[in-house]
Amino acid sequence: MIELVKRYAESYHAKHLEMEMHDPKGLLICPVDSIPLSWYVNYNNFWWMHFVKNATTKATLYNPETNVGFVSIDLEYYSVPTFHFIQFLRFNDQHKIDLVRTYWNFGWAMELTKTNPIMKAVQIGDVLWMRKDIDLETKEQLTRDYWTDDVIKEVLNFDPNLKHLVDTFKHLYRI
Amino acid sequence: MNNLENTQVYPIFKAIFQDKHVQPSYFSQNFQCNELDNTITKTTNISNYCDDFNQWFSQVNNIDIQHIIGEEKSLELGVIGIIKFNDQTQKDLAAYVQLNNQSKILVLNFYVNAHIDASLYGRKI
Repeated sequence: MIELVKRYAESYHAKHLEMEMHDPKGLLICPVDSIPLSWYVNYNNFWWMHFVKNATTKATLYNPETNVGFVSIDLEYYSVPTFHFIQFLRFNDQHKIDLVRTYWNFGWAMELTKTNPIMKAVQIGDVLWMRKDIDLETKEQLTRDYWTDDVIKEVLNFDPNLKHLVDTFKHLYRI
Repeated sequence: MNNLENTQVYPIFKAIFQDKHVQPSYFSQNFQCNELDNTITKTTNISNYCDDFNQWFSQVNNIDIQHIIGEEKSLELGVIGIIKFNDQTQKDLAAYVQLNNQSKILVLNFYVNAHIDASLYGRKI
């Protein structure tokens, strides 16, 4: 089972979470709410993972007595400091992840309070993708619509080196 | 408990999460003192780090450990729990500890459940 934990960690290197590793009825546990893991996987693959430049796995642990895994990963974002986080993973009897809980380093919470176009985009996307009143298709469309000419201009004015990121979104979303 | 009590990592686990008190002898000379936000503070030495740690943890009434994942071969420890403060507030907490072959702490990082929590800003261990 430690191999599954390692494979999960590698998803961050590939910037793509594997839906088949998750129990679709499983939950991402958040402090104020919980969301289905299927939402979480879609959100990452359609939106959040594209802000990641590089991922480094610091640790992968597994406890066979409780069927629980633990990954420690450093993510290098574009234009913001490295994001250190831990994910707690619970596996069901079918070896699918049925519960995920994410923990950040405290400094990352402070980064989220800063205003730069990248953090703003991440926050807007997070809020959008956590909404329960709209379906997946609408979320994808609203995500595409976010990248207006004005937003692209703001991002490139903030850091011209982010052209690569803008081009990625343009290509993916056919903007 | 993952049979932790008979392992090399147990004394350090006990010091941090049960006794809530550390001292410089627990740490490797290679330990990089992190503030709670994991920013490496080059001016802080291990002794000062321990003082900050012990002072911060004096605000803690109890740590309710929910999961422990110990790895004896690599001397690593993952801990998930709820930290309860003397003022009745509480936070979800995760920690990662790595020891060297002499059972000294090489890495000690703390994390909170992923959401913005302004009350944590500026606190450091």
